[in-house]
Formats: sequence, structure tokens, C-alpha cells
Amino acid sequence: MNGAAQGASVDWAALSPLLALAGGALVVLMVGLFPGRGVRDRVVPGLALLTLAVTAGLLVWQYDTSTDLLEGALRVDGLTVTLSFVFVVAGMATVVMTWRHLDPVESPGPELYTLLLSSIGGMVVLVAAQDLVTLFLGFELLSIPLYVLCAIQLRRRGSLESGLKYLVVGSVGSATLVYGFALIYGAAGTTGFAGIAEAISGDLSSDVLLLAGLALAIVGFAFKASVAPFHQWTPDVYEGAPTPITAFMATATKAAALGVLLRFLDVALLPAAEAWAPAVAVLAAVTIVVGNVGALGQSSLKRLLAWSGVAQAGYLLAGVVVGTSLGVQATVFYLAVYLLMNMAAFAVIAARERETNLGDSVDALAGLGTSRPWLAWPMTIAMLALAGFPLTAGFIGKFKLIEASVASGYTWVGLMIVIGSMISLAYYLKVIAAMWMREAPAGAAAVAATGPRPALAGASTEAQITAPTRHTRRGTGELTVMAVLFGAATLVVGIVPQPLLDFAAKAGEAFPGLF
Amino acid sequence: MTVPWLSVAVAVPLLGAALAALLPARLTAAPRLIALGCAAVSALAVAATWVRFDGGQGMQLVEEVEWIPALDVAWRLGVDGMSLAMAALTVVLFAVTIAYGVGPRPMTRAAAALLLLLEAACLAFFLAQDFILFYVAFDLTLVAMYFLIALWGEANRRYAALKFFLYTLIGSLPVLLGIIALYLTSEPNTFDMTVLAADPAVRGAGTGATLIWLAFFVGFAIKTPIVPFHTWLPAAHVEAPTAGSVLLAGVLLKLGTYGLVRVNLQMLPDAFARYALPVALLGLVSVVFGALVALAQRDLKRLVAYTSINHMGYVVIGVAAAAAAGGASRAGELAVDGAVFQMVAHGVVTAALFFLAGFIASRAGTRDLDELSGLMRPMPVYGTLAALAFFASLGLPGLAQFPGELQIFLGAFAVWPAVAALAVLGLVVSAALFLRALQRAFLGEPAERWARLPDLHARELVALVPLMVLTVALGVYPPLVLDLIDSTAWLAGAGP
Amino acid sequence: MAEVLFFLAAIGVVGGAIGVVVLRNPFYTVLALVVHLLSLAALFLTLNAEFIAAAQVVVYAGAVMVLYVFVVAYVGGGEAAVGSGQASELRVLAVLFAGALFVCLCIATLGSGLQAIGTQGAEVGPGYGTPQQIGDLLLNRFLLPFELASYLLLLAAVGAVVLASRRRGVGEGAEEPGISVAQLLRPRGTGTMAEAVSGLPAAQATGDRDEREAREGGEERDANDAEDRPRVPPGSPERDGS
Repeated sequence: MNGAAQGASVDWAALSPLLALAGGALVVLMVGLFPGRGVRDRVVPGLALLTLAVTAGLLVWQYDTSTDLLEGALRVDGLTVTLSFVFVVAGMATVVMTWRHLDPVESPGPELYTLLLSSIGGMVVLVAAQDLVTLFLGFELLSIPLYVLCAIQLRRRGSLESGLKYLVVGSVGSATLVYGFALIYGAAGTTGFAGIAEAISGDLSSDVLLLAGLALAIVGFAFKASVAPFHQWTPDVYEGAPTPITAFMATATKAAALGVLLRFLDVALLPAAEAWAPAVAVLAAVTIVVGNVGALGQSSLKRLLAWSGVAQAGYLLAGVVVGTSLGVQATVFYLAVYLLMNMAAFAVIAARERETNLGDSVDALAGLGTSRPWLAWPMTIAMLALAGFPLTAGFIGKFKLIEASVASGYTWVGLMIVIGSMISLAYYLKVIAAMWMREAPAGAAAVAATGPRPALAGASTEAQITAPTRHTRRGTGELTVMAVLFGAATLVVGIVPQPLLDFAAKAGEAFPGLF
Repeated sequence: MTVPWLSVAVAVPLLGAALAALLPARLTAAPRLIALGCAAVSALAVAATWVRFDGGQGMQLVEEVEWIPALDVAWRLGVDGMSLAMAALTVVLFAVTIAYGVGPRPMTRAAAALLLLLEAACLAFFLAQDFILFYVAFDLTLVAMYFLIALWGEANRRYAALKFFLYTLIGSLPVLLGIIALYLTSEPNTFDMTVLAADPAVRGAGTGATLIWLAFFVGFAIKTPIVPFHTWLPAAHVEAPTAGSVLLAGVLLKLGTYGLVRVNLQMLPDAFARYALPVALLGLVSVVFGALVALAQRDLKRLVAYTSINHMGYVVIGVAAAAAAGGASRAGELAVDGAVFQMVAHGVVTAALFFLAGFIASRAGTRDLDELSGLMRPMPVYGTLAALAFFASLGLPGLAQFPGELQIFLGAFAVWPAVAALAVLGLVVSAALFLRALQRAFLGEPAERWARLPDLHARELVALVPLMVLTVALGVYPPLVLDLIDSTAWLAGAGP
Repeated sequence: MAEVLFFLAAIGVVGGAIGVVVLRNPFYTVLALVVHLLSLAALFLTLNAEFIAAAQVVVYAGAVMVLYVFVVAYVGGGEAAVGSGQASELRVLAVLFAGALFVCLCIATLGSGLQAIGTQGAEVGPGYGTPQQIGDLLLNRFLLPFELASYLLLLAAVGAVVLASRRRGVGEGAEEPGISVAQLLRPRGTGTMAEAVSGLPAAQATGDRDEREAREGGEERDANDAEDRPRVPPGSPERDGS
């Protein structure tokens, strides 16, 4: 037997969550080909949920794994596992939100779930990547399905516009990223993170090629994490995309982008921290200010949450900048918490989109406190948590981030987080005030489904005829349950944060090099 | 087995709030009964603590349960003289407020739940010996008060509630930053306030200490409020329902000055000593400004609101004088004792004043002092009690506010004679304004439309009489509370 | 000799890429891309990667580009010139930033690249660039990237099918205005950050936009259509074409 025929050794157990996701995506795609509404409306979403549940189970199984996979292409460790949980939960929530959300005439069914599962797979690859090549492929695997998902409401101009915009901006980000990787490879002579770190520790820390590559790579990630000044696409894309997809992007994509930044900066480039840390700290501060100021004038909830997401990316960057185990824990904890708060908020937005014809405007929430308390309370908790109010999970999360930054000598970044939180109160409270202090506008209860179905974007009027005219009032039961669940989780984590802190500490263990 | 009375005092209202919120709507009488019961249990628990309190120095009866071990956050409650005095004030004011209700109408489930939540938060704040619990309670009071104002307030309530909420929440964020800074400078890192107060981690008045001190000061100054951070107060008071005004002035303002003493004075003594004079000057501005603006008011509630700024100014001067004089000196002791006594006295008297303002507004439909006249004739009980409260508020000897103000003046005089002398000016102005109000609204012939106003009924008397009894008792026999306050070594770690 | 080949190929690569972006006629664009890809193959040759060079020529320049040419010929790309000539302050900024980036990259690449001139480049072992070694790499060291790439291609195909399915049911002669990149520049009143800061209220802004559209577009719109209208900046090609 000669060396060339030797196959790579594969640790199937550690790889199993990823395989489950990829396999599930393909099964969903195939099953979706069967005709019949039952398949489309029940079996396919069910299979998607099953896939995610299996993945979660495998992640529990691999909870304590810490190993390199496939010749160092991937690393399954605390960070991978914890963030994968975040992606999987976000994916489950998205499946539930999507289930009855999109009019079947407006969007394809089964492919949507395939794309969603693949995107989650891409995220797992991304945060597990230990090698520039794998990292880039994970990045694309995450992005390309998302471009399509944004545009999936085929009859809405906004959705198509959102998808195209995301595609263009995302491609610019990818191009920047891959250019940066090329330069880093040129400087370090290897694509493996360990090798890069080793090369930098030598004498490369001020190498101009490396620094240029580093800058470009950070810019590439900044596009994906919507860090200012590379955030401009965020509000438009969030607004145009279907609400479940927006929720997915806001939570899972953010977690993936920040997770990969953690691994990329705090492992591969840690020896060059002097070069990147001040720059990233400034980015964080700028992002906090830009995001919070931008959110002030918004009347669309999705745009508001988009800007708030920009600001939150700034807070999260603080945990990356410090380059300590505490920072990693704080970031992962906040990402998990951010998922809870945002999913609660988006579930409410989606529910109101179905119930009223006001879309995602703040007006759609007016009078919610009296008419729908089960939606109003989760939204209130979510907004308070996003603002960092005590007894909510957001408080503990922000607290950890501030603690991490102050402890590492980045007191001014901690101060920026506090100032940002102050500004943010203005717009979060606006939402709360709308729910509790305003009367519901007359006629707002008119159901969206009775309105005219939007024409196929750009199509002739004849195309309308081919569309079946099935007007069913879409219920919001599962969304209410979801909002209540996530809202309650936000509150519970705020009061009893220890389990989630332990969970985040798991991610911190993945970085033995940090103190 | 010892009963954890402090935890009972905090937890029972909290559970009561949850219970009241979850009640079926058809039990209309239940919310009030639950609220009353919980307030009574809470008051009993504080009374039991008072009995067990041995008058010694430092924190006592500390109850500790682990909460977030990763952050060394725990449910730590404990009392010293100041905490106990403030907790007693809190339970008394909440008991009478709940006995009266939010406004003229019967108490709803939401009102009962919010009042109990507010009580639990205030008690947790005064009793907390853990900084995170302290901060959580600090912010939780905001939410409860926000809803009290926003749901039962007057015409412009939403604006006032939002302004109140934004202002004080923005004020609370620097406090958070300060807490984190204190946590990180302590060795080993801890949120335990007993440890931080006994041995202040931040010594000296360098840049770091100054910044931490300033962060706390800004937060507490907004809450107190000290001019120029006072603009939320008149709006909130005027728009709040009677119960809201009473609790806002009686308890919530004290959160700010309590924080000044507990954190700025006890944990950052050196920095406070350095900036004592500017703080005293701000207090002086509050005193004079509050009195002068109150003089120009016609609305009784607004008038009382501005005199609150005036009276809290004395407290600030007292605390600043204590910081400058140092804990060991007689002047410092006098000043801080006076400041805390004034907090209690002002709580009782101002609560009574806001009740009085609410009662007349619910009868006459106006609180305008120019429109009201000769109220003594149709409402002798109301008139007498109002006169008593007015005299107490202007600092008449023998009534509640006199001993505290006297001590503050004595303490401040030893440190800054000029400041003390100017502060007396405020006293003169407030005397003038109360006497003028008394003369205009209560004495003389009543106008036709006021001639048949009914006098106070039982529910109102239940709220008012205990406060008036306390007013007299505190004035006649100050050691009632003063012993408690004086027994505590305020500045155990203070002094050069 | 190698240097001459390198510079010739490099000029071809850069020139071809510029041509792709600059040329307006889709047909020429495709041809420029072919030049670019062939030059790239030559660059691979100078790096001792003969197999990759061959694959590049056969797969890309050969198969894929032929497909492109067919598509362009089939769709008839000759008429529609893409992009509009309007300038804006954003465009000036974009040029400035691109210039800064260019200078930055020049410093980085020239700075280290010039040192390498005259050297023989990195040492390569025996068998470097052979199909066998590439296969070995793909199935061992880069197994995961290799599999991921194939999965990614599958997904891209699925995505393309999903998006293409929106054309189903479009009747004869229906005009199908797509959305052009030019539309990414949003008109006033769409809630950008600058507007948030200057406090332009959304309602007024919307009205403003509609009014301007009506004025400059110069065409009648029915009210129902307003919701779904693309935010087309005045003067963009599809509007001119209609």
C-alpha cells in the first residue's frame, strides 16, 4: 500500500453535527420534490426541525469534544459547540416562524428549508474553521443561501431588492476577505491558523504584507457582522427580507461572524494583537455610535432592529478586542442572549405582520398591551433586555462585556458601551411606549390576507391568474408561543444566569492560549 | 431557628406582586387585601429586625444566598442604622399609601402589583449588601414608578413618565460603570458592599478614583435630584397620581441620597473629601433655587415638588460636610446624622403634603392656591393637619424636620460657615412661601364654591394621621430614630 | 525568459479584468474575460503548475466561457449597455476610497514583491503540480474544502433554480424590468442614517420621494402600484427604455 492511496482519517463522531445538517438539507430537498400540499406544508418543515433537533442532540453528545478534524481543517471545541447551539436554536426558531409565514404562491417551499439548513452548516464550518481555505468556504456556504433566502418572497420588490443588495455587498465583502487571505498567506506561507500564529510570533508582526492582509480580512468580516462603516446594507436588507429570514440573519449570522472573528483574531492573529486590537477597538466604538444614532429616527421595526443590531455588533466587538478568555466568554454569552432577545422581538413583529396590514411599522404595535398582552410582554422584555435593563439577560450580557473590556485596560470601550446603551434607551422605549401608551389605530386589525395579493414582482397582470386565490387567515399561535418562550428565557437568564455563564465558559476553554 | 426577616421583608411584597398580577379579575376586593397584607408582613419583618438590631457598628444580621457564583453575585441583605431607618420609612410610607390606594378609585390588580413591586425594590435597595442587587433594585424602582405614573397619572402623564424613566435610567448607567470599576479595583474582586465599605478599595483622589466617584455622583444626583439634574422632578410629581407623588418624594428621592452616603461617602471617602465643596455648593444652589422657584408656584403639588428639591439640598450639604470634615470629627458625625435624619423626616412630611395636595385636588378639582380660599372653615380637620404639615416642612422646632436641619447646619457651619449661613436663607424663603400658602388657601372667608367641601373621610385619615403622629413624634423626641442612626459608624473607613 | 512571460501574462490578467469591468458590450466583456483567464493560465505555468494551467484553459477558458458566449449570443446582449453615467458625491467618495485602497495594496504587494524579483521563487519538491499530487492534496489535506466546494456548487444551483422560478407564468411580451445595481443608491427619504440624524420624518420624506418621482419620471402611476414600485432613481436605463 503506498502513501497516495491512503485516505484522510476522519473522526466521524466529531464531524457528525455537520454531516447531519448537510444530510438533512439534501433529504429535505429530495422530499420536497414529492407533490402535494401536505408534504410541502407539514412534512418538509417537520423534517427541517428534525434535522436541527438531531444536530442539537449530536452537539450534546460532542459537548466535551476538543479535537482537530480532517488534517486541521476544522476544530470542534467549546467555541464550535456553543455557537453551533446558537445557530441550531436560531434555525429552529426560523423554521417555526417561516412555517405559515410565507404565502405559498409567493415563495418556494422546500428549497427554502434546504437553503436554511445549508446556511447553518456554513456557519458551523465557519466557526470551526482552522484554516483560511475552510474558513472562506464556510463563509460562502453561509452567505450564498442567505442571498437567495433574502429574495425568496418572489412577489415582493422589497425582498428581491434586499437579496440583490445583499448579494452585491456580500460579494464585495467576500472579495475583500479572500484578498486579505491571499496576502496573509503570502506573508505567513501557510493557511493553517496555528502556522500563521507561529509565523507571526517570529518576526512578521510588523510585516506590511501581513498587516494589509489583516486589514482586508477584518473589513471582509466587518461586512458580514455589519460593523460600521461597513454596515450600510444592513437596514435595507433587513427591511426587505421576509421577517423570519431577517430574524435568522440578525441572530445566527451575527453569531457566526463574531464567532469567526474570535477564532481568527484570538487564535491565528493573537501574536499581532498590537496591530489589530486598537483598530478593532476604534471600529467597535464607531459602530456603537453609528448604530445607536442610526436607530433613533426609524419607524420600521425591522430597520430599528437592524440599526440596533449594528450597535450590538459594536458591543460584541469589545469582547473580541480584549483578547482574553473573559472576552471570549462575554462575547459568546452575549451572542446567546442576543439570540433570545431578538427572536422574541422578531416573533412579535412577524405575528403583527400577519394580524395587521401595517407591516413592520411601530404603529403595528400600538395598543398591543391591552389587546395582546401575550405578545406585548415578550416584546417589552426583549426591548428592555436589548437596552441592557437589569433582571433581563441583556443586563448580564452587557455587564460581562463591560467587565471584560475594563479588566483589559479598554475602559473607554466599556464607557462607549454605557453611552451607547443610554442612547439606545430612546428608541427601545419608543417601542415599549407604543405598545402600552398608545391606542390601537382604527382598522389596524384588518387582516393582511384580505388585501390584494402583490403582483409577481415585475410580471404582467396575466400572471396573476395562474395564482390560486386561496385566502386563508394565517394564525399566529406558534409565534405567540415562541415569543413567550424566548421572552421568558430572556427573563430567566437575567435572573438565573449561571447555567448560561457556564455554557459560555465552555467556549472560553477553547482558547488555552488566552488568560 | 432564626427567621431571615430581611429576606421576608423583600420577598413577601415581591410574591404578593406576582400573586396580585395573576389574580382572576372578578375578585375586586382581593388586590387591596393582598397589598395590605403584604405591606403589613413587610412592616412586621422590619420591626422584628429593629428589635434584633443591637445598636452596634457596621453591618448586622447579614443574610447571604449564592446567586451568580461566576460573578460573585449573591443575595446579600443586611442592616446598619441608616439602612434600618430607611427601611422603616419605606414600610411605613408604603403601608399608608396602600391603605389609601393609588387614587380615589378602588385598587386594581395592576396597581396592587406595581405598588408591591415598588416596595420590594425600594426595600431591596436599602437593605442590599451586594452591588448587583443594589443596582437591580435601583432600576426596578424605575419600572414600577414609570407604570404608576403612566397608567394612573394626569393629562400629560405619558410625557412625564417617559421623561422620568429616561432621565433616571440614563443616570443609572454611570452607576453601573462605577460598580464595575469598584468591583475590578477591589482585591479580590467582589460585589460585597460590606467588604467594600469596611475597607474602601479605592483610596486617594487620583484620576481613577475621581472618575469612579463622579460616575456614582451623577447617577445619584439625578435621582436626588440636585440642581441642575432636577428637571424631571416637577413634571413627574405634577402628573403622577397621589400615591405616585407620595412614594416618589417620600422614598424614591432618598435612593439618591442614600447612595451618596453608602457609596460615595463610605466607599470613596478620599475622593469625596476632595470634591466636597463643589458638592456642597451644588446642594446650596438646590436649596436656594428650590425655595425661590417654589415661591413662584401656584399649584400646590408643584410647590411641594420644588420644596423637595430645597430639602434634599440640605441633605446634600450635610453629606458633603461630613465628607469634608471626615468621619472622626464631631462635625462630620453631626452632619451625616442630620442628613439621614432629614431624609427620614422629609419622607414623612412630604408624603403628608402630597397626600394633602391629592385630597384637595380630588375634592375641589384644582390645586391652584390662588383659587382656593378659606378651606379651614369647611374642612377643619384637613386645615389643621395641613397647617401642621406646612409648619413641619418649614422646619418649625418641635416638628420632624427641625432636628435634622439643625444638625446639618451645625455640622456644615464647622466646615464652611458661609455655606451654612447662605443655606439658612433657603429656610427663610421656604418659611415665607408656606406661610403665604397657608394664609391664601386656608385662612379667611371661603369662596362660595368651596363652602360645602366635605372634610376628610376615614380612608384619607388612615393615610394621613400616622404620618402626622410621626411628624410630631420625630420632632418632639428625635432620639427615636436618631439613636438608631447615630449608633452606626458611618465613616468606619473614612478620614485621612 | 520566465520574467518576460510573467510580465506579459500579468498585463494580460490585469488588462483582461479591467476590460471585463469597463467594456459596455457584453460580448466584448466575455472576450475580455477569456483573455484574463488565458493569461491566468500562463501565470500558473510560471509557477510550475502545469496541470492547473491546463485545467484552467480547458475548463474555464474552454468550457465555461463557451457557455457564456452562447448565453450572450442567445439573449442578444448587444443592445443593453449596463450602468448609468450619472455622477454623484458618493461616486467621488468611492473613487477616493478605491484610490486609497489601491495605494495601500501597492505598498503591501510591491513592497514585498519587489524583493522577490530575480529570485527563483519558492522551492518546489519533485512531483510538484502533478495530477497525482493534486489528487492527493484534494483527498487528504484539503478533503473538507474539496467536499464543501462541491456542496456549495449544488446549493448555488438550487438557489439559481429558486430565483429563476419566479419567471414562471410570465406571459408573452411581458416586460421584465430587473433591478440594477444603480438602484442601490437610494433616493432621499428612505431612512438612511444621515436622514435619521438630520431628523427627516419618514412620512414627509416618502411624500417627497413620490412627488419627485412623479415629477421627474413624468409618467402616470396608479395608486395601487405605489407600494410595489421599485425605488428607481430618475434617469436609470429601464425607465428611459419604457
